[in-house]
Amino acid sequence: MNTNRFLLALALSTTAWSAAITIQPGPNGTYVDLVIAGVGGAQVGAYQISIDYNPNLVDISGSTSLGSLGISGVQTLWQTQTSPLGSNLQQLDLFEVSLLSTADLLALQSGTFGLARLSLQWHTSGTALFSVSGIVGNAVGDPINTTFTNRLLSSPSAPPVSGVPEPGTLSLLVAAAAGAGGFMTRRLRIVTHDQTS
Amino acid sequence: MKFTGWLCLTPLLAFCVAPALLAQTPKLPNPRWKVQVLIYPKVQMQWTDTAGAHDVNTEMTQQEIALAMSASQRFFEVDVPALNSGQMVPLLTIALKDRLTRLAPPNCAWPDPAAVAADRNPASFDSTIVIWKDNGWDSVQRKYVDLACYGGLAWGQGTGQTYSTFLLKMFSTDQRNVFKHEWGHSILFYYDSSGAAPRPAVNNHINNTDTRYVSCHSAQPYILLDDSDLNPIPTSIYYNLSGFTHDYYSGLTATPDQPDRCLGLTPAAWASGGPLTRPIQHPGDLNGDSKVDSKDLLQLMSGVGTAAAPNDPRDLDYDGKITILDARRLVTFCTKPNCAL
Repeated sequence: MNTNRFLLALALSTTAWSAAITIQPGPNGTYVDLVIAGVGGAQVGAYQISIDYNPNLVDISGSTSLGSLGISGVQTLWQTQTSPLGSNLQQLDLFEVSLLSTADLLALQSGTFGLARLSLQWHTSGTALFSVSGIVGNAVGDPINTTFTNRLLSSPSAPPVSGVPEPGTLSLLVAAAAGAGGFMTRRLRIVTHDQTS
Repeated sequence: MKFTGWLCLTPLLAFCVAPALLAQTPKLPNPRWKVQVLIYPKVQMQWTDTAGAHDVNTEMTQQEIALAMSASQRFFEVDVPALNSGQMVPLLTIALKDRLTRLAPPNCAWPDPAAVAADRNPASFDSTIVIWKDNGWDSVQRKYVDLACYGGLAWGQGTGQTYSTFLLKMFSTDQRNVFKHEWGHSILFYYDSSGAAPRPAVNNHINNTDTRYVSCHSAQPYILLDDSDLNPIPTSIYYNLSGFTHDYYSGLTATPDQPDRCLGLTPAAWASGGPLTRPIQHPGDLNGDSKVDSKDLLQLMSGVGTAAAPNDPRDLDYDGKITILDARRLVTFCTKPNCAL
């Protein structure tokens, strides 16, 4: 079994093939989508993506799965106190694990597709950098070679909804669940109802 | 279990179902050996013999330390997976230590397992490698000396943590043959002791007289030459993709008198794990209730982002970390669709 995986890895290593995760802004700067392209013949079975941003400029106030990993999924959102990239930054880790079979994932995913939508709450006018990193796994849990592209986003033209940073919904939610894992605050949801297709 | 498709080569149903079933069988990779490379940049040795007193100091340059690190990384991350045909990808940790002060015996000196016992940490690593520099200045005899003989040594450790040592001067930026040979000793010793490899164990001191080997099944003899990255020689002793070392790392060598009896480190040997890292039993069943479901998944998810303990049942890809990839791998073992309870 591993011989096949090794040969596949060898084959992949000889090419520049790579999936790509990008941030695509929605209208009016109210949300962004995490979009993946170029997974080739693989299906995305899980992902863990970290986004580092300046909370003094913009807050990520919530997230929604875009369903490409199925409605029966595990979605976890947590927010560390500070980003390893800088003390003025926060890091959001977003991850999702599909409970679906390979065949069901195949039916849901093709070409370029969205993974998650992040709601934004701007505190001031200007631009904010979103730095993206993480891991993406295929249907059997092997890593998919993936590149991540940072994105500089502009605030909406309308006046900011709040001039003073305040805890977002996420922060309140994770505070309620603080200590669940003993090492970070998090929100954890698991849905195991039957898949409909 | 769902079929992703039908592979029908004949009208017979049995020949249609079997390949599809195999394609959907959840499986784990082979356990990954946790290897630590200990680099000792300095040696300080004092002793007295018939020639008088000796006080020898050796010290690696920064370039030599960098070479030791890069060669180790290249060996364990590229050479070993190639040599064993992808059956095991080691997990490497490199540690820069201070100095060696004990070598036994002097004049043909090596750091034996006891010399570095405090640094070996068998509770965390399957294998320890020591790299050191043996040539330095004897300040009493006022001359340069070589402390060691040979290029490397490996000690049989039974089923315990394997141990081998290398001289810095024996490898370069384009060849790591001493690594391949000495670590080859280590893994041959271990799997012979554990009984997981076919017997007789391979003697990797191949020659063309009393220790002869051929490629299993093809009975093709090997080219008894050393190769390098810049001068690759297929089917030679150390070439990564074919040849003697490749074949015994992959369980594909044989003796000339029995060319169809494959010897070396077979898939079954690699699947049995190493001195420390063992195969996970009942993969995914973290709470021990004989089924895999969302309870197990939640248990794993609560540890995502943390380091795995040795033989951690949550570390389903043996990479030393609990990640989302382990979670997805657990899903493939769920007893019911959607990991339902």
